[in-house]
Amino acid sequence: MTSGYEITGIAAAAWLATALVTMVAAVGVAVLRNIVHAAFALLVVLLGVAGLYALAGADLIAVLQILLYVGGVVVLLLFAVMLTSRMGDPEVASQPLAPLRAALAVTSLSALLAYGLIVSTRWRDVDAPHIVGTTADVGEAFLGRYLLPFEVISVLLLAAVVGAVVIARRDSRSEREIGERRR
Amino acid sequence: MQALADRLADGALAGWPAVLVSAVVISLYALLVFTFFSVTAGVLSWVERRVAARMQSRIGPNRVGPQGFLQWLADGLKTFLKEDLVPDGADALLFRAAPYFVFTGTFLTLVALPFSSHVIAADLNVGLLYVMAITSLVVVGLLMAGWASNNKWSIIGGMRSAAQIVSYEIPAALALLVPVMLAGSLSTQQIIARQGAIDWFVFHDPFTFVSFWIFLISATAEGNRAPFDIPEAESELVSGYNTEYSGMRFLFFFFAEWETYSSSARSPRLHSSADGRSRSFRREAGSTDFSKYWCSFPNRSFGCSC
Repeated sequence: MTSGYEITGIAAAAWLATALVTMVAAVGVAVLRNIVHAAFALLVVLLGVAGLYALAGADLIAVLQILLYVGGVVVLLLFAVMLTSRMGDPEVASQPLAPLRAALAVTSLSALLAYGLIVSTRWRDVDAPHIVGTTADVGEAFLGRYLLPFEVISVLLLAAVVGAVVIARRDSRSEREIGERRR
Repeated sequence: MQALADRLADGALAGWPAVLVSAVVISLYALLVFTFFSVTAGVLSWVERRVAARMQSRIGPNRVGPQGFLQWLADGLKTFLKEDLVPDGADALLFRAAPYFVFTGTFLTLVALPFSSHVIAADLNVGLLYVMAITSLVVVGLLMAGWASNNKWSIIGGMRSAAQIVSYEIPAALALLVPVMLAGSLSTQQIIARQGAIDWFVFHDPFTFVSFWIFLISATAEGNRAPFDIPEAESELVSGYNTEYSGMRFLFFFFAEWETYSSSARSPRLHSSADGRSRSFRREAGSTDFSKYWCSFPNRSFGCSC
C-alpha cells in the first residue's frame, strides 16, 4: 500500500475537495429547516471527516468513524426522527432559538479550540502520506501504555449502556400505566 | 491493484507518469468488477427465481431462452425502458439519491473482498472492518428511500429493513471476529493466507464452526432472504421501501440486494476459505488467477462456502 511516488498534488486536491464538501454539508446541518435533510447532511459531514482521516493515513480511525457514526449515530438519529409521531409532517422544522448568541458562542469557542490546537501541536514536514497500518499499534497502545484509561472508559460505557436500558424500561412501563389509566 | 500499477510503471510503461498508470489500472479494474457483478446479479436473479419457484411448487420464468435463462436480460431491458417516476409529494432529491446509497454501499465492499491472492482492488490493512463499516451506507439508503417516498408502507418497510440489517450486523461482526483473532489480522488477504488448502478456520475448533453458521444466518438475514424476509412482507407492506420506485431505480435496489447476497457469500470464505481449495486447484492447473475465481464461484453464489 505504500506509495513511493509523489502524489502530493493529488492528495492535496483530494484533501481540499473533501474538506470543502464536509464544510458545506456542516453548514447544511445547521441551516437546513427540514430535520431529515439536516440528518442526511450530517451523514455527509461524517463521511467527509472519515475521508479526511483516511487521507491523513489514519485508516483504522476512518473505518471506525464510518462504522460508528454512519452505521450507528446517523441511523439512530434517523430512527428517532422517523419514529416521532409527526414524522410525516414537513412543517416540523428545526429552527434556531437564538441564532446570534449561538453563533457567537460557537465561533469564539471553536476559535479558542483551534488556537490551542495549532499552538500546542508540534508540526513537522512530511514528504508524502505513507499509508501504514495503524491497527496493531493502536491495539498495543490500548492494552499496554493506556490500559487504565481504556478500562475506565469501558466501565463508563458499560454504565451508560445499563443506564440506557434502565431509562428505556422505565419509559415503557410509565407509558403502559398511562395507557391503563386512560382506559 | 496498486502493485500491478507499480509493476507496469516500472516495466512496460516506464515512460508514463506513475499517477496516470495507476489511475488507469484502477479504473479498468473497477469497470471490470462492476460489469462482472452486474451480470452476476442478473444471472443470480434468474437462479433465485427458478430455485425459489421450485421450492415453493411454482414454475418460475421458463419461457425466454432455455429454461428461461434469458429472462433476466429481458427484464433488464424492460426496466431500462420504463418511465422513471417520482411520486407526487415525494422528497425528489432524497428519492433519487437513495438507490445510489444502497448500490454504493454494497459495491464498495468489493474493494476489500479478494478474487485471488493477487486480484484485489486494495488489500486494506483494516479490510474486514471496512467491509462491515461501508455496508452501513445501505442502511442509511434504505431509510432514505422509505422516508423520501412519502408513503407509510415505504417508511415502515424501510425501517423494518434497516432494523433487521442493524440487528443482524452485531452477530455477524462478532462471528467475523473469530477468524480475525485466529489470523491475527483484519486484512482479508492475510486471513485467507493463514488458512491452508484443507485446514480451514471453520474446522479449526467447535467454536469457529458455530461462529461460521452464526455468520451464515446473519448474512442471510442481512440479504433479506427467506426465512428473514419480514421487511419485504408482500401481503402487508407491498414489498416495503421500494414500493414507490419504478424502472432502473427499482432495479438498483435489487442489484444491491443480489450483490449483498454475493458478497456476503464471499465473506464466509474468510472463515472457511474456499480459496484454499482453488489454490490447490491452481497449483495443479498452473493456470491464472481466474481459475481460482471461477472455482469458488458456485460457492459464492449459493452462499455456502464449505
